[in-house]
Amino acid sequence: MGHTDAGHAPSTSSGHGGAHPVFNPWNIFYLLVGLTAVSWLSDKLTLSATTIGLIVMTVSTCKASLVVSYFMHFKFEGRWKYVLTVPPLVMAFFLACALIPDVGLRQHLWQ
Amino acid sequence: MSTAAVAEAEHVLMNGPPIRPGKFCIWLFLATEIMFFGGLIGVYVMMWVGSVAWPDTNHILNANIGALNTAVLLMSSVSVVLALQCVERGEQKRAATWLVTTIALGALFILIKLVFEYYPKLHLPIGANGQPDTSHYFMFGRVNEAIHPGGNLWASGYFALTGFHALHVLGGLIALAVPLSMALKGTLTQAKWGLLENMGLYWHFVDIVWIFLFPLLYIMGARTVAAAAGH
Repeated sequence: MGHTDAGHAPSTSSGHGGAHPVFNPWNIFYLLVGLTAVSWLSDKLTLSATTIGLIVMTVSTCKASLVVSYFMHFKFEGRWKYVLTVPPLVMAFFLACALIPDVGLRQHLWQ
Repeated sequence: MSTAAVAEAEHVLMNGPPIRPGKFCIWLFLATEIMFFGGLIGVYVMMWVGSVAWPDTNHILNANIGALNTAVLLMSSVSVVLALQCVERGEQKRAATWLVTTIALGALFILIKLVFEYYPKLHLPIGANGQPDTSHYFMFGRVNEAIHPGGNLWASGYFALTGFHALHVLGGLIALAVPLSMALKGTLTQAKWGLLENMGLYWHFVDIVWIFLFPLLYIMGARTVAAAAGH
């Protein structure tokens, strides 16, 4: 297996066989705390459950994207990252989908 | 597809991904963890969607505690990144300080969970006969009802999701003790940067899981009864 930085984005410093991204983690932290505050505040609003759900899950997806992109260095990695992460995400999604007939819709189908 | 992309694809096919073997392994492990937590969350959501009744978690879970724990885990993620940057610069003592901070924050997360969440739920009220009163187990939406892992669908899901997550946090704390010990001994050199990066990847993943558990359990759950009542 190669130990080079091939496939890494140019915004990384060279090093010991891995990406060495250069960014200020405090900026990401402030963003993450701000987004957490949005989730917490949305709990105080008197909106519909669907609207609240959409808001908080969108905020969570943004937070996870920030953590993955910067803290886990995804933004600075090559395309191999998709090979390792997309298949389990798809499988986890379809696992949940497989439960729809017997679990998710059991009240509708069995009444 | 461009010539460069074809060349990169050929390189990966012939030589594997252009990353360290350790990093490749930790990402493979994280792929299994994605399946694990993805499956758990998916099952929880499906049980919720398919249930006639679901508890109003406003009476059971405190969103303020959840938000506090989210901030604690986010801060611990930042401290891992800062430790990594210190190792890259060869500052082992500062790296040790940030690793101690990370471990302390992780321990604080578990402490908050145990003291403010698990203990009050598992602490059963004593009934008139002097025995633990389990009559409330299957009733929803009651203030101060004892919540047991096997009590109802929601409780099972809640304890499974948060319990497995807490176990992962605990595992991360134990794993992070290794680079901390190396840093204190002065052996966490720049050449060992990859070791800390691998552990950091695991720690950030645990953080991401909580990022989704917090709104799912603490905020969206509280809306169920209101939505069912047509508010």
